[in-house]
Amino acid sequence: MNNKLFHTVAEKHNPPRPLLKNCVMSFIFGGVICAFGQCISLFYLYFFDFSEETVGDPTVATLILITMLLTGFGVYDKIAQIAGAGTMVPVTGFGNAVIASAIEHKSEGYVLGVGGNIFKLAGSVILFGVFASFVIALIKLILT
Amino acid sequence: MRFLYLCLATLVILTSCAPSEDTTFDTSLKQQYPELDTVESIITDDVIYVAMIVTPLKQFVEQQIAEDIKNDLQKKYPAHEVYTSSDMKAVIEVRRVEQPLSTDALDKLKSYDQSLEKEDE
Amino acid sequence: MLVSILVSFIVGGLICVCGQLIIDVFKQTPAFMLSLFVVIGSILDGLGLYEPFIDFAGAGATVPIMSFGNALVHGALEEAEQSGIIGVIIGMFQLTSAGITSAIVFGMIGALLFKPKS
Repeated sequence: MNNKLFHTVAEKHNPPRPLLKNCVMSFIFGGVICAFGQCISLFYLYFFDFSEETVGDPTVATLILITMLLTGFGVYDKIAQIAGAGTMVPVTGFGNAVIASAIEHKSEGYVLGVGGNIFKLAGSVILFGVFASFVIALIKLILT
Repeated sequence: MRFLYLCLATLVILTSCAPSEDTTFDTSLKQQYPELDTVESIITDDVIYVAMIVTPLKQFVEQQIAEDIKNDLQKKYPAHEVYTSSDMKAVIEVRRVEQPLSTDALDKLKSYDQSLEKEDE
Repeated sequence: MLVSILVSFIVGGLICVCGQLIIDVFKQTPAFMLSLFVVIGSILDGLGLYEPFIDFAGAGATVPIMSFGNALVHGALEEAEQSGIIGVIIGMFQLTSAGITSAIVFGMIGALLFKPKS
């Protein structure tokens, strides 16, 4: 059996990438998290002194608090396996990355373990977010 | 499971907050501007305050709609101070506010008028 | 008002599908996808498009990670209006404080409360 024939046979036996299923799952789970976030926003609008413009802050904080509980009890990872991007894209994914790192590296001590690793997964988001925003804000200011 | 009950309870409370009947001012405003879904207004001797929720697709430009209505009403009623808001919070507050309108309550409602913030900038 | 829940469900779901496509079709890592989304959020706010998007979709626009980029640029520009160009550096984290602070604080609390899996 030569190389080419091997690859042709191997390709036939590769499990097909379930793209449609992944997209449907991420749509549903991502949508549910955002809809739940909207319920939280409405709650803060009704019972607290936030306006539609400022209600995003307590909503995000509340969602990350819930993420901490789900991550701590190991539930978030199980949901993330099914939901794919549906749990990564919302800010809960960012929270989970930070909190899961913190919990995982606790055994190495708080300073080096938790402190040294807490931004391992979230670091690139903050780095590129801040740097891109810096450049974009400068461009906008220079142009206007 | 308890979270689900909390969500359901919140939804029940929200749906039971029946909006008050539309005044004639509200109805005429809705006829003039079909993109308005909900209108709650306060009219005193010196002040007209209109809080609105626009239809979902028009929400991209809701702040512009609020500003247009404000300018329109200011021309129609030059003797009054006119304030408008497309913020959902303004609608909630207007439904809750007690008559007669105190200065503090009015200041709070004015804070939801986004075109005022733009004037400050 | 209840319509806003449906709108945020649909919009949030669609954004997540885009993220899924970037990972599956374009074969990128999740870290790349998230960083890309934050940068997209920054660009959209630079163009003035993200705020109307939030007016429309509510939590469907503030919950995805793109709103981080929006908040960073927004804070930078707001402070720049008051303090000049140095405001870009001063104001950057003003509006993102909620997300990052809560992630750090709850991360620490989580580390204090929970046991690692391994």
